[in-house]
Amino acid sequence: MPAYNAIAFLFDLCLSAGIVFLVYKLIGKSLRELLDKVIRIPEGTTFYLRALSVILLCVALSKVLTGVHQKPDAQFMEYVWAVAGDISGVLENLFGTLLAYVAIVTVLVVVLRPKNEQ
Amino acid sequence: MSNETYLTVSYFTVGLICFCLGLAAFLWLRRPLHAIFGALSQKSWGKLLKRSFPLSLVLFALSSCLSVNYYGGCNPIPYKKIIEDRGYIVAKNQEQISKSLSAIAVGVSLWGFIVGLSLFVIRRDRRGRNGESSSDLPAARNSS
Repeated sequence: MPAYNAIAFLFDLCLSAGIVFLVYKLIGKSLRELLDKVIRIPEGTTFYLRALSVILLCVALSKVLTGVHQKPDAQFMEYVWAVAGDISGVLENLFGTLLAYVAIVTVLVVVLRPKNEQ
Repeated sequence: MSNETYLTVSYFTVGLICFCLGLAAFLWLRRPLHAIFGALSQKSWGKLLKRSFPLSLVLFALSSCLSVNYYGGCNPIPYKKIIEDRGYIVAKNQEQISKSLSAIAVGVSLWGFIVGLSLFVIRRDRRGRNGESSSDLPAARNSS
């Protein structure tokens, strides 16, 4: 079943891209509001939002692009486990990345906070 | 296509793909970054940052791509065995692209800190200018 490797890889790719899209959609709006308020330079907000999209996509794809390499006689569930392992790695990477990104945004908020704002 | 030809072609193609990935990330972030670095009062610093951004991103992506070792880790695989196994070559190509994507993510994150620092300097300069102009106002009034 060598074609199943390709199918599993495509499924992996779509699933991780979907997760990235979902994460970006979930935090994008509130992040834009926060950055608009803190940075006050529209290009700054654009940079940080675009940077987030690049980072999330790269981190997720870097985990998935190593591919699914099952033996030809592998069973269906072995492909499922391979995909699950990859997605677990993607989620782990996204968690670490989001943590680092939130740290950057927190530093920004602390450093750029207006003096008169509590 | 023989495996040896495939190895040569795929190696250079993947190198080109990694270069293009770094370039794509740079192009995606270029416009806001140039606007931010252009707003710095120290123009030479802004110019330096503008020029270093694409260089660092593309070179970092390429270096990660080129750092992949085809011979393997502790037990080196001889060249003859490498070209016997097409699957191994494909896996190494995927590893190269994967590493270069990770490098782009790390590079962009590091630039996030530099941009934050630049924004802080811009804010401080603007505050300083506003402070100066507001402190100038009473002096101007007094002198008139």
